[in-house]
Amino acid sequence: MKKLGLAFDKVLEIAGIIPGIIIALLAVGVAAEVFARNFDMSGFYWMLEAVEYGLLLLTMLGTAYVLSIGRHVTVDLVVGGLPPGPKRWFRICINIFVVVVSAVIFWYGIVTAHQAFVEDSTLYKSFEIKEWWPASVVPVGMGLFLIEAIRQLWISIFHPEEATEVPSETNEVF
Amino acid sequence: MEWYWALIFLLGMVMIPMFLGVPVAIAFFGANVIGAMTFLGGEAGLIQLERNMVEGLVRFALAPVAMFILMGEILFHTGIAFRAIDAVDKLIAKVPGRLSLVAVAGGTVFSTLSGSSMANTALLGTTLMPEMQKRGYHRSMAMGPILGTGGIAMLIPPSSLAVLLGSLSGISIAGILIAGAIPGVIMAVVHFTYVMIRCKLNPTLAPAYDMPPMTVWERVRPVLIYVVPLLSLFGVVVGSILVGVATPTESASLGALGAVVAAACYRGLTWKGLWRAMVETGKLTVMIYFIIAASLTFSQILSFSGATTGLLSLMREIDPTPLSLIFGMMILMLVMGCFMDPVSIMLITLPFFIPIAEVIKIDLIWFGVLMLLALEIGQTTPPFGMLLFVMRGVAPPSITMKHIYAAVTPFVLLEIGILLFLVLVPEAVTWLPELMAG
Repeated sequence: MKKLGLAFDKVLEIAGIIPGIIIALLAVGVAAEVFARNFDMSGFYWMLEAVEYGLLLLTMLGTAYVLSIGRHVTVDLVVGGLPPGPKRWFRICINIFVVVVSAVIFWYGIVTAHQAFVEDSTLYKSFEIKEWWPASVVPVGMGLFLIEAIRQLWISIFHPEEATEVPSETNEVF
Repeated sequence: MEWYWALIFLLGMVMIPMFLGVPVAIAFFGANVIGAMTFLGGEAGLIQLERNMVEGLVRFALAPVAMFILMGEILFHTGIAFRAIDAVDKLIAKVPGRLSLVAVAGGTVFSTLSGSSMANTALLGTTLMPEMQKRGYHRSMAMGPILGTGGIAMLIPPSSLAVLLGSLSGISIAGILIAGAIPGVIMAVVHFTYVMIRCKLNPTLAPAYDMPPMTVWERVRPVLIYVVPLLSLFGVVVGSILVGVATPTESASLGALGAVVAAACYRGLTWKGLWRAMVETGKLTVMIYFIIAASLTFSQILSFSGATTGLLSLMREIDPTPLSLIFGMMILMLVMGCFMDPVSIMLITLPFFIPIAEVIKIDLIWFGVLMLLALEIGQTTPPFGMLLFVMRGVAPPSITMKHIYAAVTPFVLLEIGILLFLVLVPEAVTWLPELMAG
C-alpha cells in the first residue's frame, strides 16, 4: 500500500511539472507563430488552436498535484477558528464533499468521452481532431484528483496527525 | 422557479460550502452538479456540464493569463524583479510607512512589466512582506498596500484583463490599454498619499528604522540601471499591439520571451531560476484555470436558470438615465465581484452591458475602463476576491482571511472613490486615447 502511495506521489509530481512545461512551450510556439507570420512564413497556422487544447491539458493534468500541495484556494473563515476536535470532523466532512463532487465530475467525464467516442464526432477549426480526445482529458485529470481526494479523506479519518495543518510557528507581527 | 429563487438557490449552493472551507473550485463544481440536475435536465445536464468545462478552457483568450504570470515569475525567479524593487527601495528616502510606499511604487513599476495582478500581488507579497514583518509593520499596513497595488496591474498596460475585455466586447484593445494608464497612476497616487497620511497619524503601524546615508546619485543610479531598461518589456508588449505585429493575446507570449531575454541581459538567467518560474507558473495557472473552468459553467447555469436575465432586467427597470444605468452596472459588478472571478463577471455581463452602453451612446473605452476598475475592486473585495486568496497563499501561515479582509477594506473604499471620480469625470480616462488618436 505504501509503495502504491509512493508511486502515486511520483505520478502527481510529474503531473505537477507538466503544466509549467506546456506553458513555456506555448509561449515559444505563439512567439514563433508571430515571427513566422510577420516574415511571410507559413506552417504555424495550427498553433493558436494547439494553444487552446494545451490550456485544457495543463489545467486538468495539474489539478490533482495542486490539491496534493494544498494550493487550491479555500476560505478559512470558519475552519480556521475551530478547536482541534471539531476542526478534524469539519475536515472529514469537507473531504467527503470533495470526494463526492470529484467522483461525479470524473464519472460524467467518462460518460461524455465515451459518448463522443461512440458518436465518432470531430472538432474542426484549423485542424481536425476527434472530440473524445479533449473530452478524455477531463476524466484523466479528475481521476487523479479523485484518488488524491480519497487519500486526503483517508488521512483525515485514520491519520489526522498527518493531515495538512497550519504550522504553529506564528510570528509576532502577523 | 422565479429568477430570484434560482439566484438565491445557486448562490447559496456555492457560497455555503465555500464558507465552510471547501476549495473554491470544488464549491463551484458542487453547485454546478446540483444546478445542472435542476436547471439543465438531469443527466443530460451533467454531460452538458462536462462539455462546457472543455469548451470553457479551450479558449485562446485565456492564454495571456498564463503568459503574463510566466512573465512575472521569470522576472521574479531570476532575481530581476528583486533588483527593480530594490532600486525603488533605495529611491524612496526615510518617510512614514516607507516599505508600504515601496510596495505602492514598486507595484506600479511592476504593473508595467507584468499584466497580471496576481503575479503583482504574489511578487510584492513575497519580496516585501518578510522585511515588513521584520521591521514590525502592522499587518494592515503590510498587506493593504500590496493588495491595493496588486490591482493596479489590471489598469496599467499591459493588462491581461484589459486584453480579455477588449477581445470579448469588441472595444478597441489598444484604446482600452492606453486609457487605463491615467486611472492606474491616479490609483497609485491615492494609495501613496493614504499610506503616508495614515502612517504619519499612527507611526506604530509602520515603525521608523535607520537607513544608511546615501547621495542622490546613489539613490537614482539603481533605477537607471535596473528599472528604466526593463521598461522596454512594456514596449515589447504594448508596442507589438500598437504597430500591429501581434494581437494582444499573442503579445503576452512576446512579453514572456522578452522577460527571458531581459534576465539574460542582466546575467540573471539560470536553468534553476527558469525551471522554478515554469513550475510556479504551472501551479498558479492551474489553480486559476480550475476555478475559471468551474465558474464559467456556473455562469452558464446562472444564465440558463434565468437568474442573470432577471437580475439585469431589474437593474434596467430602476431608472433609464445614462448615469444611473452606469451606476447600476457598476454596483452590480461590485456585488458580483464579492463572490465571482472577473472573467466570469465579464462573460455574464458583457452581452447585456455593451448593447446598453451603445444604446445610451457612451464612450465604450471609458465604459471599458470603468468595468476594469470595478472588476479590479471585485478582485480585492471580501469575501471571495481572487487577490485575497493570492495574498493568503504568500502570507505567513498564521494570517487568516479575517486579517486580510481587515487590511484591504480601506483600499477597497479608496478605489470605490476613484471609480466614482472616473464616472463623474470621464475626461480622466478619455483624454489620453483621444490625444494619441490625434
